[in-house]
Amino acid sequence: MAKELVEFRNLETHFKTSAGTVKAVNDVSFSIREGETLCVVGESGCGKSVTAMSLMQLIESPPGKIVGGEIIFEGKDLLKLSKKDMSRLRGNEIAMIFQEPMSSLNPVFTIGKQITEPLLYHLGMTQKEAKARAIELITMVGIPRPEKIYDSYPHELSGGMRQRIMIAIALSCNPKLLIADEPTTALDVTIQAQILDLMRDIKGKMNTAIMMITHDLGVVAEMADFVVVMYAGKVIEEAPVLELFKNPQHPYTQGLLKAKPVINQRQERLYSIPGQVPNPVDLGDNCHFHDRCEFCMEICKAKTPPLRTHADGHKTACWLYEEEGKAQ
Amino acid sequence: MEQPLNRTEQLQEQLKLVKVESPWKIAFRRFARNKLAVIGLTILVLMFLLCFIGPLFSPYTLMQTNIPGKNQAPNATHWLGTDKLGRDILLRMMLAGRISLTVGIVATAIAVAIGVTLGAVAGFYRKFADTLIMRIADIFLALPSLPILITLGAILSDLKVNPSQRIYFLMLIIGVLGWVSLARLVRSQILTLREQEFMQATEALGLRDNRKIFRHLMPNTIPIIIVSATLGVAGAIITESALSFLGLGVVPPTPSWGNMINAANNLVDFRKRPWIWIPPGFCILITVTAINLIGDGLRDALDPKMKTR
Amino acid sequence: MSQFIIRRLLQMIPTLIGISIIVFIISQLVPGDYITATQNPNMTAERADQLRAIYGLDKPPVQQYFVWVKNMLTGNLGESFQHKMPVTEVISTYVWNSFVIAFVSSLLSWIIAAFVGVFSAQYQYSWFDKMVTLLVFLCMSLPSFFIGLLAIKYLALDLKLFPIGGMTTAGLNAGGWAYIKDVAQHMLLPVTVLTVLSVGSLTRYFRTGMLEVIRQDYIRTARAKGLKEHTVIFKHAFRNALLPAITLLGLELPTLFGGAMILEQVFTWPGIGQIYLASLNMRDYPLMLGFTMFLAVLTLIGNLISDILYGVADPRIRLK
Repeated sequence: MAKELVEFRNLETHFKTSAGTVKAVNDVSFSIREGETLCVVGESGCGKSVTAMSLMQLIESPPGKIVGGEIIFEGKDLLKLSKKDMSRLRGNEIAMIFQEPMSSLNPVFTIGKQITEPLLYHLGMTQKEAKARAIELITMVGIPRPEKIYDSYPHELSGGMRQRIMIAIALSCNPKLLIADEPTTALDVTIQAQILDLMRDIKGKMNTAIMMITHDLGVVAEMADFVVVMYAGKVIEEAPVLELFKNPQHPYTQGLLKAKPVINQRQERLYSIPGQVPNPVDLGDNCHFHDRCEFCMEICKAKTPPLRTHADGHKTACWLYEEEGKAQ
Repeated sequence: MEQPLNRTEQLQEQLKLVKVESPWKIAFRRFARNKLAVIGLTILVLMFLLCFIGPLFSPYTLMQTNIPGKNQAPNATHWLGTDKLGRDILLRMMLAGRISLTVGIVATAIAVAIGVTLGAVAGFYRKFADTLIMRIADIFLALPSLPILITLGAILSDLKVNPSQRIYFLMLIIGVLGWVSLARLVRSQILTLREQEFMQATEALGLRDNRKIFRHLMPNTIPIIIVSATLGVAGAIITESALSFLGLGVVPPTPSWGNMINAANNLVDFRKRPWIWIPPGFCILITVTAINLIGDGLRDALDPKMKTR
Repeated sequence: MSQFIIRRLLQMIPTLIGISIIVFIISQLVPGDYITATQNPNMTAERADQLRAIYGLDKPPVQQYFVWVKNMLTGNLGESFQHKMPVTEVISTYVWNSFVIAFVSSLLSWIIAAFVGVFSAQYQYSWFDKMVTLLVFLCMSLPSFFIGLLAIKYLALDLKLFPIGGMTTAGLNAGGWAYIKDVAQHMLLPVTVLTVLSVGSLTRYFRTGMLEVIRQDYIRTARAKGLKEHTVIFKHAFRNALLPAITLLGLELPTLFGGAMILEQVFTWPGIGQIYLASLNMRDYPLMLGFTMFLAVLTLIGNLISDILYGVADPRIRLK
């Protein structure tokens, strides 16, 4: 197995709201290996984006704050780096693209200016070198007539093109890790497929590790090597992609997979997990999924299940697989 | 659909699902949480009490002159001193407050009445009515209001309008010059509302126009009207005081904060007797600040998305 | 671009006609007329009638309106009673004095407001921000004449830090640098007060603009690129926050040429505003109405300029 690139160790990111503290990321640990595509899956508000933003250290504070844990990147704890060192990594070794391509580019600067910015800043290129590299990047992400695009403004491009530009910006400094936060959610289905193809293609060429955040299991099936499932701020299951799809352990993961429509299998109704995501404020010491779980036991309401390996490379946090749970 | 920067908002949205409250209640709670706005409201209430109840406790009367006791500095019997006719400054200031506050409120009420009506008509009927009203709005917007007010003030003096009637003209003039911004706000609000589903529903129900306007459109514009009216009162008070200071607004013997400051045009009063003109100035400053704070608090409370300008 | 300007200029015509009608109606409200208002005791009734005929005052109001408009179109705003010269000449003589203080204080307000607004937004909820918010409210609520009077009384009269008023020291017959220095000294206090009066709302404008911009996705992108916070704020965010503010720039035009009339009066600064207010006592209606039209035209031109500036500055609506 490849070397570990990033390791989250017991990460805790909290948000202070008027209603109380929200543990958006609550004791999260997992790692991303070099050249691997890892998908973080979960519903809105489960903490997957906050995990990514904690890695980038772009949590808005207040109200958010990383209160505990470590994020090890190539042997260094990012949380201990100075602001200056961290900003040197950002956009350089670790790059990120976002969900909203329509609004993620600055409307008042040309595409060229926005692509060359990290090249000039991180790699110390001259204006001329940066322009040449930018045009190369625009070509690489599959946009024709790069010279013309170079001088365009974002509003002159379509959503799919803008996301390609975002990818070009992210890749400009050959990052070791590319974080993609729901990169295709806001796009049309056909464009989604193109963008995913592009990312796979690039990963093949540049051997960049990708941390892909999504709620779309179709994207997971297509892209992931390894999957982390999050629920209410916690990792509840992680496994290699085939293992997870074949043998989901956590009832939540099972529900998610059941909820996905399968082609050629007409069902009367699509399955949906009953209940709602719990109120994120002041969650107690229990399995946060217990009130939606059909296998809920007494211990689920009283104690948080630990995340433990139950099969090869497959970890689950569920009392069903623990001695204490089996006893009941 | 997740965006860390908006997380708090998102979470608060989720929390709102838990407890359903009327929008007014929510607005009230938001307002009550805004410290500056609550301070502003407290100050304004105190100012109203001072101006409307205070004079009842004064041993003096408005026109009571006392030449031997003129130009006294503040002392135990005259807390804020007396003016050149020996009149009690504190009493005059409180009564002036009645006038200034009333002029501010009534002038704004006139502006709101005109602005809301024209804005609603323009937004609802569109086409010719809209074009006409917005053209008129453009004209009023380009009119330099201070010179117009000053000229009209001078004309009122030339026509020798009696000082007590003059106040009504003044309120009318300030009101008539102040309707444009609200009319535009109401119009654009109604134009957006018209396009929404619930208006198509009223169409399907075959409701009459005035019912559509007054029952379905107007209630949705109330927040912007409240905010804009509150800030309007502050502006009207400033305008009135400036005009009165120039001797073209409220004229003596009726006191207003502005015309009391007019005493500063006399060099001796200006230099040696600041108690004559400084207290009413602070009254204006405090009242207007309080109203602006309230208006801002209301804006945040009623519609956090509304742009601050 | 030129097409857009021409269209906007054509649109201004009905507005201008509307304004002129209102101003004319106001002039008709004035009791008496030009001739009685000059109050010349030597004038005989015949002479007065003659003059009325010359000025067209014997004609019905509608006809008078057209005469007035025709005169305005040829740049003739009438004759000032008080100054015994054309209103246009009075305006052009004094307007630059107004411009000097208005321009300096506008410049100061914009610079201060931009900096304070940006920092206040960047450190939202900090002590600095809270202080700024409160000061902004105070500045926005200041009655101009009162704050001017307070400044003169305490800073100029009592502490003698500034000259009391006027534009030059009486009796000083200096030229060159000494003159400029004298004027600059006299400018200090009025400019400060003017700046205080206008900086509040501008700061607020910049602050809310910045607050809105720094929440945008592209700011997150800029941060994710690893740019320095300084670059993110002053390059990426500020450029965007400046866009709506540019619209205000054009609206400053009427303020620059005679907006501060009450303060000019308080500081006895010989600008057009003070001349205008002084003309009140003489009931110099031609000057009063002429000046009003002058400001109205400036307002319209200002609106046009702000539209053009916005079109030039925002690539999304950049005019071709």
